[in-house]
Amino acid sequence: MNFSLLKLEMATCGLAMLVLMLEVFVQRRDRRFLGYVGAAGLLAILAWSYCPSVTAGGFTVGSGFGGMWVNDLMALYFKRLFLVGTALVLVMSVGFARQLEGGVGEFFALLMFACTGMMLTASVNDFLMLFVALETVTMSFYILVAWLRRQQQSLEAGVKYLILGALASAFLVYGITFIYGTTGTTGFAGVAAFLKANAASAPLKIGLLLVLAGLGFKIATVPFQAWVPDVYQGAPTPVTAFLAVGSKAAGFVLLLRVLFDALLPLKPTWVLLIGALAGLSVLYGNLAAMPQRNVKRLLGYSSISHAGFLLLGVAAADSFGVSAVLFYLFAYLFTNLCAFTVISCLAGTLADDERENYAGLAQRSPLLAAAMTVALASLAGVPPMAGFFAKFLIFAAIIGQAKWCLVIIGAIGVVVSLYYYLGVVKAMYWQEPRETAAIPVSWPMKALLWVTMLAVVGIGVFQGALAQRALEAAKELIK
Amino acid sequence: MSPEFSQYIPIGMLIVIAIAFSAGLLVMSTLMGQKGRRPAIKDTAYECGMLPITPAHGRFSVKFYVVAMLFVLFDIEVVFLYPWAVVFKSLLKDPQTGPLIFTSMLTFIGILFVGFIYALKKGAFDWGTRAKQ
Amino acid sequence: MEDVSGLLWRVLAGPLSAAVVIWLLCHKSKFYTDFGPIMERQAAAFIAIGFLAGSSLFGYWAFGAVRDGAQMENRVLYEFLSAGDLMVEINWSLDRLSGLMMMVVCGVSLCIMVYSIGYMHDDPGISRFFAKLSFFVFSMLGIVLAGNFLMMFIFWELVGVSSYLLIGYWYERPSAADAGKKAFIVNRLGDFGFLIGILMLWGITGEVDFVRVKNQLAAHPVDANLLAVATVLIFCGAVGKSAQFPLHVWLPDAMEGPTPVSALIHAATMVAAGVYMLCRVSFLVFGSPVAMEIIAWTGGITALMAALIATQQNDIKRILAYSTLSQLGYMVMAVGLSNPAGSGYMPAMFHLSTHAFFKALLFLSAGSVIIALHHSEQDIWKMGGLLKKMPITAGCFAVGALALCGFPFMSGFYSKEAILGLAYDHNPRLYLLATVTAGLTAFYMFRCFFVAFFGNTRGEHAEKAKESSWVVLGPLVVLAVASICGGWFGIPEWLVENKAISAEHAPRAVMIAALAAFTIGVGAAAFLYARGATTDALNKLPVLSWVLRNKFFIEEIYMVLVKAGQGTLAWLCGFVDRWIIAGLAVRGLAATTRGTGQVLRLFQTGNVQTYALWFAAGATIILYCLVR
Repeated sequence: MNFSLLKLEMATCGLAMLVLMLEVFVQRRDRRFLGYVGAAGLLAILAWSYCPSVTAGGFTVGSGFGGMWVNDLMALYFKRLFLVGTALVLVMSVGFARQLEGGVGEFFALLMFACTGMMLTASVNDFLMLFVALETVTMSFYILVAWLRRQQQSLEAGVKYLILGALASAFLVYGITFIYGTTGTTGFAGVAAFLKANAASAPLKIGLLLVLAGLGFKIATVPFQAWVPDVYQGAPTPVTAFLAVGSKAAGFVLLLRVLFDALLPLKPTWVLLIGALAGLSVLYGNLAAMPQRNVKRLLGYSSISHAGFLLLGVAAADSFGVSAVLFYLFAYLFTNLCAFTVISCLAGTLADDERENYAGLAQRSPLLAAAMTVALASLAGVPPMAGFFAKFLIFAAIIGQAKWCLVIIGAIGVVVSLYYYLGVVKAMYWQEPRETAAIPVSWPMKALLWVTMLAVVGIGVFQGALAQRALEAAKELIK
Repeated sequence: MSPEFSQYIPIGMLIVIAIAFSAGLLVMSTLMGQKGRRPAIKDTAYECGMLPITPAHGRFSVKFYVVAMLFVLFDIEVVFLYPWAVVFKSLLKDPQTGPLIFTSMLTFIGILFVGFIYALKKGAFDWGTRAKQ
Repeated sequence: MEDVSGLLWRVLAGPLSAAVVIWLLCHKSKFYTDFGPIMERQAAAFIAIGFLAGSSLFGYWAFGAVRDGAQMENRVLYEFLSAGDLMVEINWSLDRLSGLMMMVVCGVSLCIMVYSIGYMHDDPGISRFFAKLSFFVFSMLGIVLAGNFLMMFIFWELVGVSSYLLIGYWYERPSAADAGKKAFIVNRLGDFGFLIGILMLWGITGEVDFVRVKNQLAAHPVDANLLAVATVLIFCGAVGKSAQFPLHVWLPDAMEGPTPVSALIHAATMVAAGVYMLCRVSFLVFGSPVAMEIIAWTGGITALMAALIATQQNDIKRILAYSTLSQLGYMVMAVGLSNPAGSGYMPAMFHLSTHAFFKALLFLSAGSVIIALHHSEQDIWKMGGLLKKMPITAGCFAVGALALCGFPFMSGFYSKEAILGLAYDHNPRLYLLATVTAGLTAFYMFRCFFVAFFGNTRGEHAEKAKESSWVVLGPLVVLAVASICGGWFGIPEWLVENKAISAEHAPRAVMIAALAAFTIGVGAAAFLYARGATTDALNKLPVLSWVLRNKFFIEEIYMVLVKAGQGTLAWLCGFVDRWIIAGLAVRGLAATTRGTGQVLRLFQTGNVQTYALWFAAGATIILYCLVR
């Protein structure tokens, strides 16, 4: 047992506890500075993860804890993704703090506990560890989603997320018992060895499917997507953003680990399954988003469709496809955070998130309108935004595998998505505002908007380094 | 007596003692208790002072829940501590696992301790009005 | 060898930095009010023109280097993207083709920008206009100079975005905003084919660089059908951008933008990009006879259809728009018919260059007329008699019209003759179609000219019309000279170095037939419209004019198709979402918060259960499929 394998996670968890203790002991009334403490700490951990002593010294890279834990380049890639995402969400929460109705310090701490859980998911190499890591994330989210407990919407979203999340966890743990019962092991390597030696029996298949269903809930793919629009709409906006970028990425890293480590011998079967789910998600997410008028709900449906696009990359099932997925998740992180930052800036001013309220936003706040446009363009896959290259890589991967049916479905999805994304842009720029008062944007939000916008365009234009890292990580996953 | 059976002897003794104790109490109360009139209320089940029949949607103070939840949390701590304590001595002798078994439980208790301080400072254990502050 | 790539960076940087500078300095800022009223109004214009002029100078320098035989070596400037086997670099392609195109784009854009000072004089958003215009020129130059498919695609999309911004420039008009959106979406349709084509090509050859793809294809011949499919998909991009049938519908609507924008879109940028792209990938097109056939017929049909529609349009800008469609059809047809061993893509590029001059001239003349009518009248039947009131504009319009119709010794004559000769040699049916189109072209152009400039004035704005100022007329005269002399610059010799081929002329019969078509067209127009007609003579043929005025009902057919297809699907999904997912009557949170009452609250609990049911049912179905 080598605890240094866990040092990034331990540092994050310690930081969260530090913030919790500061919340209790510090007398200052305004607790918003705790968010900056957390964000700065996470960025310091991020910087630490680049230290040669961490990466090259053989300390952090390796596996341990009886094969339950693996720290490879992909784990490191995802841990950095989670650290960046959580730090940005923390800053967003600072700007959103006025709407949070107290308990700000706990809110920040919970975000960081969720981040710890996500970082655990990145290194999972065992079904038990998978369950523990995933529950750490999910438990934190149960509380976060229902945070605005005086608002019916948030409360309702919280209850729905709790019930359906519990259902998904039940599926997951039930599946794990099937797997353990048939193979006698919970380790990914053990399951893979068992599958290589024996044909997959029906109970084992049931177990694996139940596990995949539990993960499907996390990444919000059809048919496990029903919670998404309601929860996205009702949750506090920073939490929605975190759900969209963090929770989804955590689900994807687990999916990749399960599919490519434990289930590699069953590849021909799950490629079909994942391909079908991907196609359904792309179609469902995009088509259902078309009549949608509520922007947060719209992004919920868009999140389903993006889960589909990501699954397309998984369905390519080669190192290039996986690298496309990894790249896509990073691009999606900045893009979504940009969009949700705009929404949370508007939360105090607009009555709700209906599209009509966005009319003439360009006149009331050009920065917000520009940021939203950049984010939506990236979501729609317009060059030179990050989202374009992400989609480009996904399409290149599935074309490389000659899956023409999926290419066509993806193409339909892209064209349809343009319609509803542009609808919001049109409302912002070409419709008269109901009110004309300028919308004030606080400086942390302004900074966040600029950072995410520049990142979206920057990744789109200079994507070489990131794509390279994604490819290296993917190549390590698929030997 | 076969060794398989002999390991159940303590359980058998426990059952015997339990039955004897409760039966003894009942017998003693009938022998020594005061006899008087028996209104209906005296025949109702006695459950720590709660009324056995009330409206279903009774209201409790939220403090009950907080205490109950904290109880469950720290109860679980003990559940983890037991198996650990069983192997603690033997593992401590081994220089490979010795420091590990100590530090890992220390970490676990440390995390719980942070939670305990948090609950304490938030006033979860104050039953009086001071908790409101 | 001198560093040509450095020059090209500067060519591109000019318009881009103009756009950035204008955006930074002139956007709602008091920065330049200190420079006095002239600067305040026109600063943006001078910045844009200054930077573009600088770019043009650098461009001319690079052009000169090409003339002196400098071949741009395929130098990697920056490794843009490298993932898996895919390697994309930033590199430029500078040869005779892109050199010519670059000069055309720079020259015409410069004229149009100068003209815009006059045209946009009273517009409050003039700095925004010039910023967008500069960005547009930047994107177009990017397409011209791109050295690989991916870069071309990026700039291709940037042109789409900037055209969206410019067409919707008067965003307060709903029609303009809609036209912008329409142009963008229709273009995206074509672009998607383009992208798939690029990816297919990459799948076939493993390269995206023009030169390397070409070498790869030459070294390892691939299945002809596969190549034809890839070529046709790439051609889809050109169909969108060059507004070929069936994706031509955005172009006439794009007239909602300011007239200089129309001139730019129609003459030198945007629509020309499609034809230019086909020439750039000619190595691909020429390798696939099937694809060439498809391209030729698409062009031919577009040419004839647009010419027919143009005969019954009354808006002066729309007539020109359909004429552009028709001429683009010519160019695309020429690409499809071209003779790889002989003149290659020369006829198409030649016509593209001359067309750039006279179409810009026509649009700017029309714009001059619109200025004179105080931006409030574009119907030719409400004009009339403008010849006497604005003789220079009328003269320029006439020069443009003559060049367009192929009047002998004007630029259009040479380029059209080259295309007709090509058609005569290769495809008699298309030749017939092209000749008829030429006659129709003469007819509708002179119908427009006679009705707008001859006869009596028929509207109150036309009564008060005055000749425009020198800022407007200057570019007109420059372009008029270019339209007359465009055929004498030696563009064919520039593109085809083999003197024997470039000096070839079409057979005498072709010339005579073309002249006859021209004469018949002009004669018919003169007979019907020159004698002071006040209503359209074709009104006597109600069915024909009804069909033509409604543009063959193509838009209506699209509307029905879109409504039936996409509308139904969207409705279906909305239905599923609203009624099945959210549990019969519950519309989820939105409706709940609106407090739609008791009934909804009854269903509230059913909501999560429905979700759970959905979850479990999905898992069961998959389970069945998997374990079966």
